[in-house]
Amino acid sequence: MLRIGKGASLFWPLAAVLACAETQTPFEPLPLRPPSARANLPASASRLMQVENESDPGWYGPLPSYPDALIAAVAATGMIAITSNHPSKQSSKSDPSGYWREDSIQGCYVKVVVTYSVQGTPFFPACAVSPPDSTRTDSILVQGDGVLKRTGKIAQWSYECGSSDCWSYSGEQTFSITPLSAAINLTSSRTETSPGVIALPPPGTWVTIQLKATPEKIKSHTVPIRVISWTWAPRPGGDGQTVVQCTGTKILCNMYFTETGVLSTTAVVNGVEQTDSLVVQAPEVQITTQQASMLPSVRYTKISGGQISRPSKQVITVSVIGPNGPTLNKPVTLTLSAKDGTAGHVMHPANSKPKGNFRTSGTTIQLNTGTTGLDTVTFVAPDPSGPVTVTGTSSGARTGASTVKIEVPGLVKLPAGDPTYALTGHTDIHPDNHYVTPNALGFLIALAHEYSLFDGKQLMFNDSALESGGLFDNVDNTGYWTVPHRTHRFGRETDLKTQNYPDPSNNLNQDDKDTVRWLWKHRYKGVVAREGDHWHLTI
Amino acid sequence: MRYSITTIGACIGLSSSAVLAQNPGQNVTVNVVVDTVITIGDTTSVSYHVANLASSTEPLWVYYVDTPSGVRSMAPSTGSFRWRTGTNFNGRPMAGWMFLYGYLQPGETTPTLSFKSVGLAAIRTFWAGGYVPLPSAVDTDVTESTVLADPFVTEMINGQTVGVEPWPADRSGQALLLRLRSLTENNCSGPLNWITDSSLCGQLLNDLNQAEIYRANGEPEPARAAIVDYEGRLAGGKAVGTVSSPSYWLLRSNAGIVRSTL
Repeated sequence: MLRIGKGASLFWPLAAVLACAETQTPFEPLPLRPPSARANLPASASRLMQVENESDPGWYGPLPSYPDALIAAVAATGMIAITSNHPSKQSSKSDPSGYWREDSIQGCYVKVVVTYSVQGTPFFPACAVSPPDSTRTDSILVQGDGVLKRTGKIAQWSYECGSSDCWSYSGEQTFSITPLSAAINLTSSRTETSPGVIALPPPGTWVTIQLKATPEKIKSHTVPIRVISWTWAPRPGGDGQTVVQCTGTKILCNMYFTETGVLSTTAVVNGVEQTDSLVVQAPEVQITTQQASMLPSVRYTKISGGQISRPSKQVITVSVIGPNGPTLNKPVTLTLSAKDGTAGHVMHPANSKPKGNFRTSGTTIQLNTGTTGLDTVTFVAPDPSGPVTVTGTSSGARTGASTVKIEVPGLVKLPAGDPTYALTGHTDIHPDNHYVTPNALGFLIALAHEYSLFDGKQLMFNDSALESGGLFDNVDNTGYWTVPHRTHRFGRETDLKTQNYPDPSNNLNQDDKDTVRWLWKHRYKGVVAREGDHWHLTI
Repeated sequence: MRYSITTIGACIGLSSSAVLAQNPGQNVTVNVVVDTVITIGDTTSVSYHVANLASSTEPLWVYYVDTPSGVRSMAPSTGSFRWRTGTNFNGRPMAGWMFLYGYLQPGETTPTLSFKSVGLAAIRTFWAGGYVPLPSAVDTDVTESTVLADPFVTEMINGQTVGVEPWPADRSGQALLLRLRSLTENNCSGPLNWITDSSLCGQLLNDLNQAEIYRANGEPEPARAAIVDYEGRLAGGKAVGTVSSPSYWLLRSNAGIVRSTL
């Protein structure tokens, strides 16, 4: 019997509960070995052993070879008739254990014998059983190349029957050999929480691992085991500190687990290559997001007063997965964190990056898995883009985390080096300030090219958006994470300098302004507006 | 040189007056006077004078004519009244003029604006937009999915004038005669009403009927003579003001093409 992945089915109940999650599985199953090929199943065989020469019952023939030791069931059936020509002996029948001559020539004759080249336990006792039995069975340990034979005629003195044989023989017998089945069984000194699963032991605990067979013994023979390999596969994100002593061909060994994962071994058990696994599992907080990527929120005070508020939201699902599945009524604390130096915001004050919030406020929230084994909370993205990590902690469980990418996807960088336009406005805290949509990219380049055709002048583009869009803060040192750029969040807006070009001949006169406005609005269907000392182009 | 309107004549822009005093850019009323329409080979050239009527409250900044077969060339400005030209706007082929600083003030008329296009004269849409100072940025709340307004809809007026459309697939005398008849009927009825003399309309259509009868009978000479009569009546109507300039040039141009195919 081939056993693979005893712990795999553990994950289905919660998977069904969390079926609403769109983009991620509720949690990743522990890595399991793929089923191994069941190679070279040991062969069974049967033989018909006829008496072909009435004066000699001997028979000889090969049996299957077994490179690995195994226990096989053997059976011999049938009686050989022994007809006596002897003056003082009667005719009789011999069962497979043979004929015993108990007089001046003692010996066991006409006996079925199995031999194997490496090892082979004796078949049933020779001539030891009385009365004769037409069927003899046994379980024997064998290895190597096998031979089946029936021993020859009964010995006689030369004077007993003159020049004739004292006995003649007739009949046939059948013989069969069938390897018995035994399953691999990877065991440990820890109690299994479910078949093939143990809980991550507390620190300081060594675990004894023993590879066994089921059954361990057949008749009086220990089921042979030959280890081929051991594999320890820690779950991704593990600490890599597990001490692995189960290696090579050991059957009994120790492990010191510091992380969850799967211990697998492949061995030949009673002649059959098999694989078994032991899953090491720990209660762990699982955080499931609906979307791995989401838009940033948009919130600011309009120039004309009033608020723009478009929070970007998604629901986050939390559970604590133990060896037996989701843990009920388990308190979990969720905390948000944002990574400094991301999404084009560099050299901002450390740990100041907005993280978004849960529900309507707060970057930490207490949840409880309740009677369903899970809880949900609405996450509202921050205005600045960049990764936000949701970390879940729960007493007695490993910490879980999931990172959500806050971004306007698909923005591209307006390339530098085009003679028809120049780029400006980059700062130490926003070194890349010219990310736009592919659509805007095409129109900005076209605007500059067409504009240059009229008078050969060069345009200069100031801020567009940051690499992942979102809030473009602290322009002109107005404050970190504040909104001097109310817009410039989606890559559709770019500022155009109209005055104060490095080369004053490129300053836009009225004709130039009318030309830019005309091209942008009518040719490309964009929007142009005045904004301080520059123009604000939207497309 | 700038042109001031002395006579209203056929005020093509009047059909646009319904949107007067709407959004910025739409506070203009224009009169598009067709100067000439000439077809040579497969290419037709059209020239206009565009008048920004005194009733407008905005100077005229842009003027566009729909040109579905594309623009082959446009005449640049040469005098003190300057413009830039363009031939494709928001993915649509047009002949477009943007008047530079000074723009076309109410009561003024442009010099000749002309373009060439492969095709034949047809009734096409024009757009005219007034100049307004560039607005300051106010709460342009643009998201990734915001659809921006089409300035041709929100910041311009539109009307009908003479433009160029692609040659029809069927260029036979019969098909072109049918097309000329349809154009004549459109000119004689609303909403264009470019020909205001109904008896003249009847005579023009009768000329076309005669031409078709002769053509169908295989008599090209009298068919062509009927078209000559048609052209003569158009010229007479133009002289007395019952045939507007766009009507005259549109029908005359097409009549000449018909005559050459009979």
